[in-house]
Amino acid sequence: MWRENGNTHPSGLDDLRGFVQSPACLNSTLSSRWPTLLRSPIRTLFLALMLVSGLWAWATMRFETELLPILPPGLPSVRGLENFRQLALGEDEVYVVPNPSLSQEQREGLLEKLRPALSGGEGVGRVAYPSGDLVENAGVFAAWILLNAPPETFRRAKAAFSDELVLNRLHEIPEKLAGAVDPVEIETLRFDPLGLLEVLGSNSSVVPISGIPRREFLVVSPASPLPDTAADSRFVDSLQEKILETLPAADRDQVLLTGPPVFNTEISRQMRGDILFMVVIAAILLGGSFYLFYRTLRPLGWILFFQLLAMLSGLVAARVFFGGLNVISMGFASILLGVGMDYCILVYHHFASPDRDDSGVWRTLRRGIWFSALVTASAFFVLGFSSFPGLRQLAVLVGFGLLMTAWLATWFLPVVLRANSKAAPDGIFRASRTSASWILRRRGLLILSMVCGLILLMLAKPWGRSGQLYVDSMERLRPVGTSAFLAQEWLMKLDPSASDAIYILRASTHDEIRNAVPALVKAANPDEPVNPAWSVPSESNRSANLEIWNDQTRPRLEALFSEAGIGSEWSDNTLRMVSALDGAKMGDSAAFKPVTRLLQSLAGSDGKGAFALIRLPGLSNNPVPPAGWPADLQNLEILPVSWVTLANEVAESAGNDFVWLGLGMFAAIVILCAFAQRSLVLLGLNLLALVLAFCLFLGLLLVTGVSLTPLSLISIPLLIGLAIDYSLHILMGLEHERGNLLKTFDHLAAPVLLTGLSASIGFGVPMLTSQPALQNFGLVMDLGVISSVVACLVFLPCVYMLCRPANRN
Amino acid sequence: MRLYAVSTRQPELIMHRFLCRLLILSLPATAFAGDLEERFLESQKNLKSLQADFRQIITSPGLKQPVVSEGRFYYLAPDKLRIDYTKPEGDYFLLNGNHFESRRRGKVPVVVPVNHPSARALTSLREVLRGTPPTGDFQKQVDRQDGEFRVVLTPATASPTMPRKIENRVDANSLALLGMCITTPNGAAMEFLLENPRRNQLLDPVVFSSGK
Repeated sequence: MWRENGNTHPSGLDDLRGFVQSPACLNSTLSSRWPTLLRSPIRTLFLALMLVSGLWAWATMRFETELLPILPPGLPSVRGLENFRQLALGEDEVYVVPNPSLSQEQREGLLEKLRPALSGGEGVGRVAYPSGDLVENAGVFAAWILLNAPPETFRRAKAAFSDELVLNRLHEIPEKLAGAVDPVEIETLRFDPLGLLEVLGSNSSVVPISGIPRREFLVVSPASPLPDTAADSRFVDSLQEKILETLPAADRDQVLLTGPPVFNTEISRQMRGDILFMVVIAAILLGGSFYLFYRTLRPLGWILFFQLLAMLSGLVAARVFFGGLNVISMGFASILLGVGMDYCILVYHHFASPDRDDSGVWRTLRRGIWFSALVTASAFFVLGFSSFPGLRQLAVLVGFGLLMTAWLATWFLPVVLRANSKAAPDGIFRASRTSASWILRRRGLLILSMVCGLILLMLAKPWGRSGQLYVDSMERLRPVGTSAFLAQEWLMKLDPSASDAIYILRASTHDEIRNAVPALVKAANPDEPVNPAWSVPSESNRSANLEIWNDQTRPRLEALFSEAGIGSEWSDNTLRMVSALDGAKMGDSAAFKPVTRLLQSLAGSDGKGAFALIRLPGLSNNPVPPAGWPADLQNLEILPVSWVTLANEVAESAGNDFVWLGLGMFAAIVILCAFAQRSLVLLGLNLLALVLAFCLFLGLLLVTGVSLTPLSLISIPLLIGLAIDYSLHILMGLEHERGNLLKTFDHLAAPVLLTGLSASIGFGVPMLTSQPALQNFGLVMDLGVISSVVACLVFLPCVYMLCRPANRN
Repeated sequence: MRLYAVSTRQPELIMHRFLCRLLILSLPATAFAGDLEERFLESQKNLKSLQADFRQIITSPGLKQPVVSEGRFYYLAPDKLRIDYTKPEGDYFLLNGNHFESRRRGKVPVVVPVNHPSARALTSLREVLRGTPPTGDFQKQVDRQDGEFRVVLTPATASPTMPRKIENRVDANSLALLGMCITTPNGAAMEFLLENPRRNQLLDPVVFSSGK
């Protein structure tokens, strides 16, 4: 140990002790920062460890672009959407969609040109129209529906296969055809000459049996699964290339691609572009601001280096706890930059100020940083109890990152700063003192204006404007700017079932599901006559129906068709249907093989029981009855596949979460602030700063007309972290300087202002990106940062003077 | 999300949409190449009324015998069209302004708006009789045989949801529409024949009354 300027300092190699003691040493002996930093084996070890683990986390991290994984997995709509994707959507399928504003023949012309071209594309396995399988195998599918139909329906169908009835029906064909001017009539009769669709019931119009192919879009499946985003990109690029080669320039904009691989490709490219753009713009603006304050840039490089290390540490934690991160959670990592900069700038300002050798000031500052980091990180860790996985990721990423930033700022950063830190320009201190003097002189006026502002806010009745302040739409979370999204909109216009409400139903057996469907339909829409239970398999019906089926029906029918002079063009579908039934009767497991894929998209079983998908026409906007589902459906798990329901459930869940999470965060802040400051008055002042910042934020939202979304609602706890960070520093500084605002502002005004500025830049830059979710988030955060800085730097000192007159200087 | 889905619901509406489209696109497209087309349209614009014996022949691969229907055809410019069947007796189709009424196989008459898919075939025929220029992307081939023009229209792009071929017969002297035959992608053909046409003769509006 050695002494300098009356202070005790640690020896150069005793880093850990030096970390907890004054760092103002060695500044005369060390001139190069890297050697200084690496001279200590412990620091070197830590740096290497952080870099290596950070790079490992980055390299092995699974980056997700999906929205659903960040929402509560227990919500029925989230489960419904997830299950629907697994059931009905090919995760790797790409949809080629023509512009719906073109005429039908133009659309079909484009698709017909593209179909052979895309089939020859790299990695393409299959190119088909959506109803391809269904049209080709409609007879087999009809057999499946019939086999699962109620026994009385099946008996009626079987009766229709009697020799007499079959011959009668076949002889009636000319009579039925006579006078038909609608080709649909002819085609329907050719498709079903025995009239079996009628046997399936009066609601057979919802039964998807038809000989009419749908040619609205193409479905392109890859030859092999696409394991990652890179493979998605290659596949999508090869399809785009084929489209460019095949279509003339005028038609290229008339066909778009959509589907999971296209979304993944576009979003990941946009994110990469956006991240690069944000980093460049933020670096320029941050560098400019820092230079404006301190006339130097080199320390900023060190600060950013340590920030990078802190972010890598957050990534390591996220990698260990979750194995992956969602891009939206990553977007929130900018809060880490915003708050972490605060600690680093405070440390830099200290070492660039005349008080750099004052160990008392350093101890206060270091203590402030640590308490601030603990309070804010604790607040974030409370978010770890949220039901939103996205919030849990955020909590871990930012919480660990903040603690690491505080550690790096107080252990590593001083080593490089004290070696040769350039003194801050006098202008900063002059400006700080002038500001402090101005606040001191006009504190009465400031308090009056604060009270008037609060009264005005009360008169504006923000509690009655929840619709203006918060919009629970999920639209901003959706990638509306992508061409994949536009193609999806086109698909919606072309898809005749776009207005259907879709449900995934779960129960222990399919029979339970099937029996509950009529009650569900009645509850969803009492006026709707359809019964979509045809799509639900029934173990008991199947078994009973097979009992009475004659497995030699096909040869008999073939002879009857031949006797009536009806050729295979008219008999094929019917014969394929009875073949499948004959096969099922004989126990042929491949009887329904041609429609396996289709059946898998309708129903199935897993470890949790049976599930099935049903559709109710026209209910897409109101899939759940206002009064909820009736009690007699309690054994049925109803999972709506609906963005409308998702928005409602997420809004409700977010509201519940924020009530108790907000209380938890508040309790954590109160406890830690009380522990840090050990004064009821100071604790009250901290909370008052929070209230003031919140009121200002609310006022700014009302004035600017900006609305919170479910995503930016999450920014409120982040803002609490920021506000408490500033108020802790200001109050601890005021306490340390015994209420001397001039001296306190010497240490804190410039750093807090610069931190606010850098946070505003950090959060503001996403507004320039193509992600609507990040744009709203950036704007809300900027309003929050401005509120926090003004509340803590302007109004808090005025209130402090009132509450701590003994400390007034 | 479900927009990605392959729809598993294919209501009859789609069937109607699809096969009516054959007529939607084809009937206005019963155009004739070059001058003939212009002359035919001009001639149709002068058509105030039309009465004809009507014969309809439906053939299909797999059916040994063609199905023949007969009746009477009436048109009164600009928006009235009726087909009364004698075989099958009692069936009729009536287009009157914005309503389409039909009676098939002795069932109760059904009235639907004129934009209903099932009405599109006859509304398209009405447009041809009005002399509305045809639309659609077809290859046209015109031959003259036995005192009549045979105009064959083939879709530029073959498609299972478009007619495979449309053949129109026009009298070479009067340019009156004699018949039209639509071949569907599955090979079925629906031929309408207008025999003994009487143009621009007084026609009793009662013919176009509902249910008559």
